[in-house]
Amino acid sequence: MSAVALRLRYEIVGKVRFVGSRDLSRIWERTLRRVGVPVAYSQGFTPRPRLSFGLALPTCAASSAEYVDVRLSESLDSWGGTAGIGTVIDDALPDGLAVHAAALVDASGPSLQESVTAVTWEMTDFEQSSEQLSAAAASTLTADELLLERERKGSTTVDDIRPAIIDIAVDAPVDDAVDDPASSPRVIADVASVGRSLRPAELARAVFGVDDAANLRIHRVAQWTDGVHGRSELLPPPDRIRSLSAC
Amino acid sequence: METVWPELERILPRVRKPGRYIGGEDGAVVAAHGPGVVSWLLAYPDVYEVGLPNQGLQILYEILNERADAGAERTYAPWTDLESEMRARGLPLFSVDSHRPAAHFDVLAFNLSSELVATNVVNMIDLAGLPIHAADRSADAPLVLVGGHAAFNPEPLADFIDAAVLGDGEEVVGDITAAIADWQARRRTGHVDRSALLHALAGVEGVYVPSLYDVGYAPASHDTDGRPVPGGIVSLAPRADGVPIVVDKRTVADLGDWPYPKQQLQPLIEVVHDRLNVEVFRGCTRGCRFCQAGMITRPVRERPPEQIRTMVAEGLRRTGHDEVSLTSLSTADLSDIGPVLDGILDDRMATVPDGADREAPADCGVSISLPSLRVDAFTVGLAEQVTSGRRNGLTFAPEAGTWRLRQVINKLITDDDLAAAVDAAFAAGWRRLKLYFLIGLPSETDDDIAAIADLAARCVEVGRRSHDRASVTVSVGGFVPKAHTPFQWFGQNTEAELQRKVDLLRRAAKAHRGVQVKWHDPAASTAEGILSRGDRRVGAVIERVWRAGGVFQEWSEHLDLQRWVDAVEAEGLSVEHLVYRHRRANEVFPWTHLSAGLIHDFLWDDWQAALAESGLDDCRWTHCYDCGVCTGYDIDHVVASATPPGPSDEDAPPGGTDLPAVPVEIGASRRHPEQHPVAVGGR
Repeated sequence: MSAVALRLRYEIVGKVRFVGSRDLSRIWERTLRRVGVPVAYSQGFTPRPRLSFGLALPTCAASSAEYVDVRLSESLDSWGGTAGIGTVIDDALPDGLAVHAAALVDASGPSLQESVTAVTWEMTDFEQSSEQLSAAAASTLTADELLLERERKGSTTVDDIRPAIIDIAVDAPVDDAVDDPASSPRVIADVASVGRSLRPAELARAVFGVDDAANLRIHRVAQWTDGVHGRSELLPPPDRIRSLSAC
Repeated sequence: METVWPELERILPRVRKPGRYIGGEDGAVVAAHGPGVVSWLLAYPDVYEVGLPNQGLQILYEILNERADAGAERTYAPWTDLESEMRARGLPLFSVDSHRPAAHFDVLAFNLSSELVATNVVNMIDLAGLPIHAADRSADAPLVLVGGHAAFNPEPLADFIDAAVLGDGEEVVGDITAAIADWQARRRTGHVDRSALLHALAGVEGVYVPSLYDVGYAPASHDTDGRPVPGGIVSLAPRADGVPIVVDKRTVADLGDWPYPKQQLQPLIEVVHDRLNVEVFRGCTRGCRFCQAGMITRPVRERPPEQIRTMVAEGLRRTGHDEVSLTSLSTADLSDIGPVLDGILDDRMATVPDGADREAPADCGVSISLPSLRVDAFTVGLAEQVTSGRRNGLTFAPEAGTWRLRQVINKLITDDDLAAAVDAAFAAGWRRLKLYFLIGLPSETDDDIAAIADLAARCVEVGRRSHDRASVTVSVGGFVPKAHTPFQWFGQNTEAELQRKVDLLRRAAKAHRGVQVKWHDPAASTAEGILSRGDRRVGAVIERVWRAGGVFQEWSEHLDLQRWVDAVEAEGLSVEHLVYRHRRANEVFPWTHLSAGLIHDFLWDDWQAALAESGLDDCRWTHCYDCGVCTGYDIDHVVASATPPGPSDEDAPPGGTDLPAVPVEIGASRRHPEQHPVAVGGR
C-alpha cells in the first residue's frame, strides 16, 4: 500500500478562531490522539505526528474551508471509511471546529500548499457604503497594476499585487443583517495563492484603503485547485458531503 | 449586561495571544446563575498560561459546580495590552467561561500562589469595577476572598480583601457558600448588612476576616542615622465576640475522598505545565526548614494507589495528553511509588495493539514526571523507569553547598549521596543536570557559596566518566524567609549581599569547565521579602506600587524594586524593618493569630536546632516531634508504609542499601527562578 493521508476539510468559527495556528495544530494532534486515529510519526530524535496544514489562516479570521492532511500509519478499514472517521473526529473537536468533509489522498501527491491555487475571502464590517466599495473594486479590476508597500522581516518592498487579484465582488447587506441599518456590505475576493500570498488585510488596505483591518470580520470560504475541468475546491463544500459519503 | 463577549470580540484582534481570553477548554462547564445559587468567580492573579494549570483552582471549580447551591467561573489577569483596551472602553474584568462581568458574581476568590501577585489582585479588583478597599464596598458587592499558600500571611492584603481562607479548600468552599446563601436569604426578608455576613464568615472554621481584628503597634522611633524605625506589632485582637482569637487552617483528612480534578481542563492554547496532573499526596514532613509549603500542608495524606492509577488512566484517555505529572511536594516519597509506576506503565501497554511497535510514540508514548525532593540512586532509578528515549534534563535540589549548611536547613544529603545520584543519572543516559541552590540561608558563609561551585564541578567530573560533554547548570535563588516556618525569625540577606554572593559564585564557577550558573534577580527576592512577612501597613505600599503601574511583578520586565523601596519610605516604613532585620524571640508576627497547626515552641526549637546545625528526621517514618498539627487537629498521616520507599534487596546497588533518603527533584515542576512566568512569553 502506498502512503496514504486522510484529508479533512474543516470549519473554524466562533471563539476558537482566536487561537493561533501553532495552537491550532496542537489541538489537532491531541484530538487525533484522543480518538485513536493511526497517525504516522516522523523519524528522528523527537518524533512528531505527521500533519500538514495548508496556507495559514490569520488568527481571528474564521473559515469554512480549512484543510489538514493526516499521514496514516495503517488503513482505516475498521473505521467505517472516511465518513465514519470524519464523524468520530468531529465529535471530539472543541466547539467552533467541525469536520465538513473527509477523503483519502495519495500522500506522495502534491501537498495542500502546492495544490491550492486560489482562495476566496469574505470580508464584512467595512465603514464604507456598498457603492463606495463597488467603485473601489471596479477601479482595481480595470487597473493594470496595484502597488502595495509591505514589510517582511524588517525590509520594506513595493509589490504589484494586481496579478494576485482574480475577482472582487461587493454584496449589499444580507440575511438577518437586513434589519440592522448599520450593517455593512460584504466583499468577496478571489485571490491567487501562488507566489507570495496576498493577505486579506493587505487586500483591504490596497483596494479599499482600510488602515486598521482589525475592525473587519474576515472569513475564508473556499480554497481552490486547478484541474483539467477548470478549478474546483480541494474537497466539496458541506452540502455535498452526504452524497459523497454514500458512494 | 450578562456577557461582555460582543465588545470583547471587537478588541481581541488588537491584542497579543487573544486565545488567552476565550475559555472553551475541554472540561469547562456552563455554570447556572440565578436565585438560590451562590456564584463564584475564581481568579488567578497572573496571566492565563500561568494560571490555567493551577490545580487548586480547578479542584474548586469542579467542586463548586457540582453543588446545586453554587456555580463557578474563572478569570485570569488580563495582560497589559488588553487591560489598556478594556480601560479605554470601560470594559470590566470578565470570566473566561461566559464572559460575565466580575461584579455580577457573589464572590471574587483569588488563588495566591505567591506574594508578588499582590498588585495584580488589587488591579483585578479595580478592573472588576469595585472599590479596592474592602471598607468602601457596598453591601451587595462581591465578596473578595483569597486562598492558597501565600494567604497564610494575608496581612499585606488586609485592606483589600473581605476574608482569607487558610488551608485546604475542598470543604470550606461549601461552608462559605452556605453562609452566603443564608445571608442572602435573610437580606431578602429584612435588613441585614455586610457586617452580618462578615461575622458569619468569621464563624466558619478556616476563614479569617481581617476587618474584625485590631492591630496595635509600638510607637515609631528613629535609628542613630535619623531614619524612621516603625514600631512592631504589640497586639492582635478580635473586635467582637464570636470572632476567634486564633484562626486555624482547614485540612482534608483523606485525599481519597476528593478525587479532583476529575475533568482536568484542557486549554486551547499552550500553557505552562501542559500535561495531565494527578496529585498523589498532600503535605510533606521532610522538614526542610526554609520550605513554607512543607510546613503549612502537614500532615502527609497519600491518595490510595488504585485511585491514582484510575485517575491517570482516565485522564490520559480523556485529554489525549502524552505526559502525566504525579504531583506532590516529593513524589519519590510515596509509599507505593514503585507499584504505582508499574501499574501506570502496564495500563499504557495494555492499550497497545498486538504487533504494534512498542517504541512508537503513537502507540504507547507517555512520559511521567516526578517532582521529588530526594537525591539518591533510588530516585534516579524511578526517573529511568518512566522516561524512554529522550533524557533531557534531570534536576536535583541540594539547596546548599556544604553538609554543614544542609544540616542547618534540614536537607540531609551528603556530598557522597549527591555524587551517587549524579553518577547514576549520567550512567543512565542523562547528559545535562540542573542543581538548585538557595543563597542567603541562615549562618551561610562565603565558604558555603564557594562550595556550590566545587560541588557542581565534582558532579561534572563524575558525569564525564559517562559522557565527554556532561554539563551541570547551577541555578540559585535568594532565600526569602516565610511565615509559619522555623526561619520566620531570620533576617533576609540584603539585596546587595545576595548580589555579592551571586557574583562570588559566578567567579568561583568560572574556574570549572562544564559548570554554568543561572540566578534569580536579588531585587525580586527583596520585593518578595517586603510582602512575605509584611504587616497590614504594607497594604498602603502595595497600593502605591499599583498606582505607579507596578503590575505583573513576577515578570522580570515589569519588576522595578525602586518603586517598592520608594513606596515603603513614603509610608514611613523601612525595608530594614520589614525584610532585613532578625526578629526577636518574642516577636508578635503579623500572622501570630493565624495557625497552620504548628505550635510556637516547635518552630522556635527547630530554629534553635538549625543554628546548632542539627538535623531532624522525617516524622512519617520515625517518631513524632510534636509540631502540633496531628495532635491539634486530631488527624494523622495517611501513609501506606511505615518505611520510606527504596530499592528492594535484589535490586540493591552494589555497595549496600543504606543510602540515606535524600532530598532532590526530578523533572522540573517546582517553580524556580528560570521557570518563572518570564519563560512563558507574552511578548
